[in-house]
Order: sequence, then structure tokens, then C-alpha cells
Amino acid sequence: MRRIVQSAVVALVVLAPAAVAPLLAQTFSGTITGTVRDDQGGVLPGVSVTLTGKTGSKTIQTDATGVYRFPAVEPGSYEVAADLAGFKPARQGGIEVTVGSSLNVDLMMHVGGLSETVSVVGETPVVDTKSSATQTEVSQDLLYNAPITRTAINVFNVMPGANSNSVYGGEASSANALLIDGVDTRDPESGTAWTFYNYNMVQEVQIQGLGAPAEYGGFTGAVVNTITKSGGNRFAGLFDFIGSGSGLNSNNITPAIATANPSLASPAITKKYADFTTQLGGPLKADKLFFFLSAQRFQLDTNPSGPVTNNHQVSPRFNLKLTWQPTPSDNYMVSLQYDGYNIIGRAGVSALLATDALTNREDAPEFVWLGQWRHIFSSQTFAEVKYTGWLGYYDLNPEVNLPGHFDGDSGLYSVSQGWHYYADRNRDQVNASISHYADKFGKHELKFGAEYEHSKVRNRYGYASNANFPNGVYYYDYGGAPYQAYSYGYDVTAVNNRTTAFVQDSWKIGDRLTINPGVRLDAIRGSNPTAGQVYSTNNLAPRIGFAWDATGNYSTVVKGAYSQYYEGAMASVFERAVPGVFPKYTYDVTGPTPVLIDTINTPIYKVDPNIKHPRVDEVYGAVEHALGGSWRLTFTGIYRENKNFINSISPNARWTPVTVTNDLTGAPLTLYKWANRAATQSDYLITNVNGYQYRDPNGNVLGTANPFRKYKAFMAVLNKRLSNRWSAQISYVLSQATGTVDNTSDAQVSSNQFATPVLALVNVNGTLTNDRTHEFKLLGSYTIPVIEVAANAYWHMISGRTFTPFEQYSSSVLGLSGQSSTYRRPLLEPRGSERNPPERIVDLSFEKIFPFTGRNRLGVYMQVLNAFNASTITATQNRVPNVSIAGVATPVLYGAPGTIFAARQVNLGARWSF
Amino acid sequence: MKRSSAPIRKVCAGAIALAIGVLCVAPPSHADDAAATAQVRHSIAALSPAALARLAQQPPPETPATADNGSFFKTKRGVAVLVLLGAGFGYTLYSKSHDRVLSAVR
Repeated sequence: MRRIVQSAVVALVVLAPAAVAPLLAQTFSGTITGTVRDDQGGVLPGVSVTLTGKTGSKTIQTDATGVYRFPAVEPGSYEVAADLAGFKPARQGGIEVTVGSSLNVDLMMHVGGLSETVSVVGETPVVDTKSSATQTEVSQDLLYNAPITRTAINVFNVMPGANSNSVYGGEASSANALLIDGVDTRDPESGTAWTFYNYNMVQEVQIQGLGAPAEYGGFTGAVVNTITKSGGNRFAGLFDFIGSGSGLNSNNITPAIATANPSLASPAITKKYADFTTQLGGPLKADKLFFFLSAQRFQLDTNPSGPVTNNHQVSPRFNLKLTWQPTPSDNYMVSLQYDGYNIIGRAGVSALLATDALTNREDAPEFVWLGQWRHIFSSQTFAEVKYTGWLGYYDLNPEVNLPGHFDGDSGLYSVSQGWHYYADRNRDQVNASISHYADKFGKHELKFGAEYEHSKVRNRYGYASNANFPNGVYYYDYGGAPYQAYSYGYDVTAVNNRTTAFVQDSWKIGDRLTINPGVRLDAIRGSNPTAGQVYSTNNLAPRIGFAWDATGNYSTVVKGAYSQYYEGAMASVFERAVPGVFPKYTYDVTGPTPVLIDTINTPIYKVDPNIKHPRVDEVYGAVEHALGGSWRLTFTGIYRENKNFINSISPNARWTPVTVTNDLTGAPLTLYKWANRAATQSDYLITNVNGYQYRDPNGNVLGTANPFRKYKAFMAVLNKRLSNRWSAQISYVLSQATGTVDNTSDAQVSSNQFATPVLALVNVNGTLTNDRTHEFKLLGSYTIPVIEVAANAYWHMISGRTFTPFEQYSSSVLGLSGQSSTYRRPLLEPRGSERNPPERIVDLSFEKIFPFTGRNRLGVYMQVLNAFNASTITATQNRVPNVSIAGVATPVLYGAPGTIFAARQVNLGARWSF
Repeated sequence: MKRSSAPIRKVCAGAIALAIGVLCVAPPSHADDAAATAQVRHSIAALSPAALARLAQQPPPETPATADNGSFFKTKRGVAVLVLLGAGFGYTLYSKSHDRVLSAVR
């Protein structure tokens, strides 16, 4: 009978606390290493060290220095056991391997009895003394328990410095790299999120953003790594249902809000929310072959705020993953996901102007796949090869398949949204890497890798047709009757090719200093089947960081890094330079027969041959300090500056200053009229616009383009990991995001901001929309004794987003007839002059767990989102003097509430897991 | 518009050369076997006679945890799992076709 000595003997068995270094993160595995010693401190060679996890055991021998190493360990919970004849076996359990972790688990063996085992419950240290990177892990437990909206893309908004998808002041959404099991699932056109996956599939989400190693690229915000579950030797299942209904909604619209903006009088209502998951993983052959299966059906029916009354969303999702370990050194994994997104009632024009007839239907299925082989050559070296990709499309068809109408007099749309849009996407990617541990001039953890990506974009757009216009038409009405008609469309194909090489090291010099150098090279090419290659950049991104164990006892680390991060391959930077856009025909339809009155051939833009890819430069420093065994306090300073903004200009355009009235202040405002439009409107250049000079007809400089975006922040984060029934993360961020290029979604490369000095020069410099001066977040969990109910809270108090009043001036004043109205909307005050009210929101969740026999667990849970039903204004109507709204007689004035935070909603759920 | 790829080749060549160089220069950790073994010998020699006597008596390492097998599905829990799994997959498959908002051009 073995005697188990529990954690009280930690001091006798564990010599050094484990150290955690996120080095091999894109490998999606971790490393466990350590030294085995006897009780006199001498190292023990030839000790059998066995690593046991959910897919079986591996045994290796310590080398002559008593050192063992298990490289390429899948994320999960493990036990390490050391056995040597004449010694008590030593075991350490509870070792949690996360993606990219490098755990140091040292063991001490005592001469002892035949049947005694000395066991300890391992505890990962709270401070990482080897990595210069800062990362945030969102564990499966947190995802289960925290009252976070179950939208995977929103998970990272709980991290300090991330709000409204803008991370560290970066452009929202498209600046963030979104990886699922290493598959880049972003839209290859603009970099925004594309695929949807089952929230319950997630094993861990890791967010890298500060000091990220060279294997990471293709982002200027953050990298969001999502790792999904896989099967093991034991059958493990989850059956989960969560839902809500109209009786579980509240109303947070105050009379003042309803009066100021009647379209908000009826709040968004969740009519039906039903989301279930069934999943099972387990062995097909013990220790060798494992499976994981999952099915989810997500349904959400809402009555959105505004004139639209019905929005119906259904998304079925399937996942299959197989893992095969034919030998202890080889691991093969294949996975396949299917998901479809089906929406009825998607607003086809501005939400304030859309009615049920002005919506569309979305059909968006896709497949995501991954094949991976990992081979361990020795305890020093392993390699990994991956083939990943996805294929899907996204179609929007009008609910009413008739030509649409826009009335220039009332500013309202009618009949139909009038257009269709078909987007085809696919990406194939091959990654290969080799990792090597070396002991020369210190200790090295080296990694070399290469990647190749081929991704394709096809966009088709057109108008609904009728008898007079079989190729499609859109009507411009005036006073309720058709005045002009437009025919337009495009079928554009763009291809990205990216070749990447990187090398990085974690070089430990002595016992306390680690240097993390790296360099990444991305060669990005953009092309079209007809036009050939039109875009080419070679981007060399150095990374250098350090981590210094200041006290030598793993309790305080000083770290910092300088890094350059380039954006990924995105067709939006060059797709205006490829053919496929049809002419825009304008007809006079005031008579019995349409008369063609104008033809505009959309120019094919040129691309500056010396163009540089957008990037952000980052300098950051941090001090992390362990307070006891469970607390960690971190102070971080961040400076980021975006470079190489890409936009389009008309190089030979000339502009005549014109004076208009700023209807917000009554003061004169200088704008610019395109003086030589006819001669220059077909001559556009895609370039890095910094330094471009706008000139008047005489050649005099009116102003110079100065695109920039800067972010400065100080962060204080206090982490308390789970002990004594509670855990918490409390953070405060003081930050400033300034510039001339905003950080809202798609504000960077797909806008035409610099095509006109009206948008490039007028009041352009200031505070960005996603500037959150003060940010306080508390994420906490406490299990209430006696009743054994887990109570979880997410409380965030954040400065509101900024906004700037704008006014739309007539096309004739600015010489922009036929151009998008966007070009005629200058800011009336310096950017970000106004700010929405602070957001103070509390979300709660509670779960009562009923333990069964064995590993069975039944939980009944409740989420209360916006628990105090706050009526927080998240956007303000910023058009001067007002804006029309469908179904509302009186236009809504500038300064009225535009959108309100969703009212309190209660979700109820139950789940059985084992 | 096509640009020369010479700079990228140079950088790639440099990176590969650096990689090979570091890999070849930095030997694995057991290169210092001789010195370490001496240290270990010293450690073992310092053990007490009683401890040394036990060296030969220690049993082999414990066998790791065994895996579940197909008999799981014959248990009540296994049957419940199969029923729920079948229902979940069946309804999701039904939804995949029934709830599909099929685009006009597909």
C-alpha cells in the first residue's frame, strides 16, 4: 500500500518553482523540462521520468546532468513521475501545460521505502522570468464561467487594453490576427473575422500583443490564438444548452432617449436565443488514436433597435478532429470544421434607415481544415509541418428582389436594398518549423520556420434588374418620383501570396537574464489573373526583448521589448488596381424612355512600385512581481506608432479653396473643390501617402498629408489565481490614442480618406474614436460556501468612445458629382472633439453544480448581462444638423443618442460534462 | 511593376546560414557528459550504506493510467451519451438543410 504524501511536502520535493516562457506558441504545444536531484543536491542520471497525460505516457531517462525534457507536449494537465531503484518515487501532478509554455519541473528524490511515493500538487509560478512577451490566456474554465458574450471574436475584449476590438489603440478588428488551431481564419481581403466556430470547442484562447516573438506576424493589434479540444484516452463529453426569450429582456430606454431619437424608443429585444452543443472525445485505440466530435446549432431571433422588426440567425456547426500517435515521437492531427451562417433580416442600408423590406438574406457556409505532423527527433529537437486552410463564401441577396430607390429630398430608401453581393474566399497555407534546444554560450531555445500562404478573393456586386434595365438598376428619386437611374457593378478577383521566414531564440545568459531576439521576413505579393502582379513588398521585422529575474527567486521580473509588426497579406491594399469594375451609367428617367446621360469608367489605380507595407512599431517595458503564491502585480508601459499608411491619391489633382458655413458653429470653413476633375479623375495612385502635397491650380501647396496614429498607455494589472474559492483579474489602463487616421474598423487601407484634402486636411488631427482614456476591468469568480454556487462577475468602467461632428456638403460645391457622399463629409471640429458617456457595465453569471458519481458534472447556470440595466449611450448621432430616419417624421438632431448598450438580458443554461 | 527579389534572397540566405551555423555550433546538452557524470558519481557515493542497499530493491515504475474502451457505450452513461449525441447531430444536420438561406447563385 502506497502512502501518498500530499502537498505538505512541497518543500521537500520541489526545488525550484517552474518557470513559464511563451516561446513556441505557434507550435501550439508546450515543453516540460527539469532536473532530478537527490536530497543532497546531487544530480541523478538514468532516472526514468514518465509524463502522463490524457493521451497516455512517455518515459525518458535523465541525462548525465540529471536533466530531462519533454518537448512538443500538447496543452492539458499532466503528471511527471521520477523512478529510480533505491529511491522513493517522486511525482508531481497538476502540471498545466498551456500553448507555448516552457515549464521547468525539478524533482528531488529521497532514499526511501519500497512502497512510498512522494507526491505534490504542482503550482505554476505567477511570474514568468524568461519571456519578454506579455500574453493573456483565457482558459476553458474562464470561458465557461465568466459572463462573457459567447461570441468568440469578442473574447479578447476582456483583456486589458482591448475594447471594441481595438487592441492597444490599433485599428479595430482587421488589425488582429485570428488563428484557430493555427489556421488563419481572417478574410484575405480586409483581415476581418470571417469564420465562426463553436464556443464550446475552445480549450484555450491565448492573446499575444506585446513583445510577441518573430513567429507571429500579420497583425498590428494582437494575435488571438484559439486552441480547440481534442480526444484522449478517456471519453469526455459535453452537452450544453443555453437560451433566452423575450420575457427575459429588460428595457433600458429612458423617456429622454426616446424623445431625442424616436427610433430607439423600442429597444432591441431577443425574441429567441437557443444554442446547444453536443460533443464527445475519446480513444479509438488506446494511447494511439483519438477522436473528437462536436455539433452545435445556434439560433438567435431578435427585434433590433430601429425600424427593422425581425432578424433571424441560424448557424449549424460541425467539428471532427483525429489525433494519431503511431510512435512516441510522431503525432499526426487532422481536423475539419463546417459552419454555415444563415441570416434573414440583415439590414441592407444604415440601421436607422432600414425597414424589413430594406434587408437582405445572408448565406455563408465554409469549411476549415488542418493537417499537422510533428516529429520529435530527440529531447533537443523537434519539427512540425502543417497544411491549413479554409474555403467559403458570403452572399447577400435582397429580401425584395426589385430595384432600390433613394430619395434625395427626404434622404430615405424604399422598395428594396436593391443590390446583391457575392464574396468568395479561400486560403491555403503551409507552415514548417524546427525547434532546437542548445547549451552553448548559455541556454538557447531556437526556432526556425517558413510559411507560404496563397489566398484568393472574388467580389461580385450588382443591382436588381427590371424590364427597362436587364443588367440591373438603382433609382435616385426626388420628391418621391424617379429622377435618375444608375447601372453599375463589379466582378473583381485578387490573389495574395505570402512567403515568410523567421528565426527566434530565447537565450538564457546565466541564471537571471534571458534575451529574446528574432527576425521575421514577409514577402507579400498581390496579383490578379489578368493583370498579373500589381503589389510587392518585402518586410523585415526585427524583434528584441529581454527578461531579467531581478531578485533571482522567480518573484520579480523586469522585461521589455522593441518590435515591429507588419500587417498580413490583404487584398484590400491593392484591389483597386485590378480590373473588373464595370462602368457606371447614369440615365435620365423623368421621361417615358430612359436616356443615357453620363458614363463614368472606374479607373484602374496604379500602385507605387516603392510602396511599403503597413506596420506598427512597439516599445514596451513591464515589471511583474509575485505577491505570495497566488497574486501577481504587473505594471506596463506601452508606446506604439503605426507606419507606412497606404491610401490612394490623384497625383495631379488640383484643388481650389472654397468657403462654406460650418453649421455647427456658424463660422466659415475652408474646403477644397476639385478644380481639374475631368483631366485627373482617371489617374489614381495607391501609395504610402505620407508627405503628399495637395496643390491649388497654380501649384501652390495647400497642405501635406500626414497620416499617423500613436498609442501611449500605462497599465496596472493585478491577478489572483484560484485559491480559497476565488480568483480575479483587476486592471486599470490609462491611455491615449491620437492621430490623423482613425482606428475604427477598416479605417486604414480600404478607405479613400486621402483622395481629397477635404478628408485629409480639415480638422483631421486629434483623438481617435477608440481612445479610452480610463479603463477599469474586474473579472472575478467566487464559489459561495454551503450552497456551492459559483458566482462570476465582469465589471468594466471605460471612457466612452469619441466622436466628431460632420456635415455633408453638396457635390457641386466640391466638384464631386457622382462620387460617394463620403468625400463630402468634412469634420467640423478637430477629430475626437466630443466623447460619449463612460460605459459602466456589470455582467454576472451563477452556476450551481451537482456532482455525480465519477467525473460526471451537471451544472445549471444563469447569465445576467448588463445586470443593472444601464442606459449607456455608445454612439451619438454626429451628422450636422440632423439625419433622417425611416418611419420617423422629424429628423434626429446632431447630438442625440445613436445607439444604446443592450438592455439587461438573462440567459438560462444547463450542461452535463464528464 | 515587378520588383527585384535580390534583397529577399540575400536575407533568406543569411537567415538560413545563421540557422545552420547556430544549430551546428550549439551542441545538445549532453555534450558535457563527462563532467556531469563525475558530479553524479560523487553524489551517489555520498549516499549512506543503507540507502545504497535499497537501490537494488526498488520496484519498477508504476504503469500509467489505462484508457477507456468500447464497453463505455454499454454503460448507462454511454447509452445516454449516444442518445444525446445522436439527437444533437441529427438536429444539427436537419438544421443545416432546413434553415439554409440558399443564395440564388449557388
